[in-house]
Amino acid sequence: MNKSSRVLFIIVTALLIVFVFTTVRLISISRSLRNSLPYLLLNESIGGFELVNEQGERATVRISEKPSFIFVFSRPCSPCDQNIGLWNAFAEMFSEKMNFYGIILDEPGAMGYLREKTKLGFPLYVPPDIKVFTSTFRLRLPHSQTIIVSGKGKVAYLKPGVLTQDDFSRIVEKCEKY
Amino acid sequence: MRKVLILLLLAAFLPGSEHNITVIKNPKANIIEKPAIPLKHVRTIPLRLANNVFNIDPISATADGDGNIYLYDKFICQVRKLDKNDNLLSTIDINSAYKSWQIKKTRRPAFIQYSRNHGLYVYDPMMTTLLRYNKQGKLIERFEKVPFINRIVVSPDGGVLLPEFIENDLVFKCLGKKNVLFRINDYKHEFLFFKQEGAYKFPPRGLFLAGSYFLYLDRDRILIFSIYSSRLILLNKSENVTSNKLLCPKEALDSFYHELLLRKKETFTKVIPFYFNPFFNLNEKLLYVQSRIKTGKSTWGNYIYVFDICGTMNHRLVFDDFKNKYINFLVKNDQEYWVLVNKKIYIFKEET
Repeated sequence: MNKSSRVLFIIVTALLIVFVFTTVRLISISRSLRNSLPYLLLNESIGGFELVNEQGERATVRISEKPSFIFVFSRPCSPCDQNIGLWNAFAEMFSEKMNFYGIILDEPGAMGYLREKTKLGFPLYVPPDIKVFTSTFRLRLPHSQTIIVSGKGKVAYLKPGVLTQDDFSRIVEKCEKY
Repeated sequence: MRKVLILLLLAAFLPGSEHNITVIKNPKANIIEKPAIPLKHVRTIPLRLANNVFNIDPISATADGDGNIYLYDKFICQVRKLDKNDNLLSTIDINSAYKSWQIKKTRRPAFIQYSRNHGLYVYDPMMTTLLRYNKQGKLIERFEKVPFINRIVVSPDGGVLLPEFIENDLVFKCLGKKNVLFRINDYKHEFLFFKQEGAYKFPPRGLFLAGSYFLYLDRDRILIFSIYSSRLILLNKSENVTSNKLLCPKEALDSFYHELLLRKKETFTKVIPFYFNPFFNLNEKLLYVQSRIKTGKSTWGNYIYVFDICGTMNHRLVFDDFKNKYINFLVKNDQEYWVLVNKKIYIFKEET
């Protein structure tokens, strides 16, 4: 091996090492960044998660086949109150072709109160462990979130807070295509 | 001297000492009920009125007398004109009356009233604006800084009647005009049906607006109906109360007593009405009022009492299979009753 090829070999090896290190670093940065983000990202995969229904039965939800609507809400939350009418409207319009999950992040007993007072037209659930659920869905409480998950289990739409007239039209347009 | 001071202090802390509101104790039933005519649920107004028009949050309605209904939707700030068969005829966008984008983005409540001779009136309490539209839905008049009103009463000349309290007298003036059209001296006696401490927390004008229905009967007379005192008052321009009648059917009174006993604590902060959702049908010259009647320990049904302008009961209606429902508004369109419950409009018809 002559001098020039040795120099080239060293440069290529160094570049390769830098590339591997940078890639590993970027992957770890992206993971930590993703975890530190306040909300889920569009097209992010949502795996299965555990919920407890109104009868107290535990069920594992696997988002597949049918697209799903996930409404996250709690009791002391003004955007949630404003969205309830719209959520009921979505449930009335798309309950045949989509699954609906109203997820309550509140103290035990809130489910009965919300069912009675707000006249919700979709099934309600509570996560068995609120802390785990909030970190998985990257939620900030008290907060309202409207999430649409496609049949492939990926986030197709996400809106934290109050839904506007534009959001409503966008959601209807999206869901009518399913 | 000390005794006088103690008495003065006590008087100052007694509830009601700041307002001169009279409460009427222990009223007696004075109306015998007739057999009730059942109201059958016919259909429900669909969520989607047209391809891209949704009926999400209707909060106010009015009928035009030709079989059409105007609905105000708070979610999109639009008035929708529907025909007898719920077909969408036209929409009026209230937001187009304002320039600011921030205003256009907020969901705002509004009160609407149709006047046969003067068109559609829309009062926006957040913007304190009263808008008048013609039959074609074109904005033709606009009033700014209108004091709060929860119902729009239009005079035969097209003026909007505003109630006001001058000391203890209730007076009615037209919007933008100073002269008094109608006056009731010492209206405080008409305020409350029966002792409810919560009433003292309200100013007289607020209490009157929250608890009274009034309308122009004809050029010289107005009709006032109080849902708290259940009194029907006819007043003419020459400052005379021509009739003042208590409308107390026995079953409604018994049910009301029962309700007050159950909600004893609440009566210290709130005022519980005797009747709900009154409206007057100018074609029939009849007053329709809704009441909740206990049918079991925790169940109650919705009834409608129909009175003529002299306070005589004309007939009585009962909603079939409609128990424990809180009705938000009630409008009559020909033979159909449009009822709003939990953001949905149900249509009922009298059973023949």
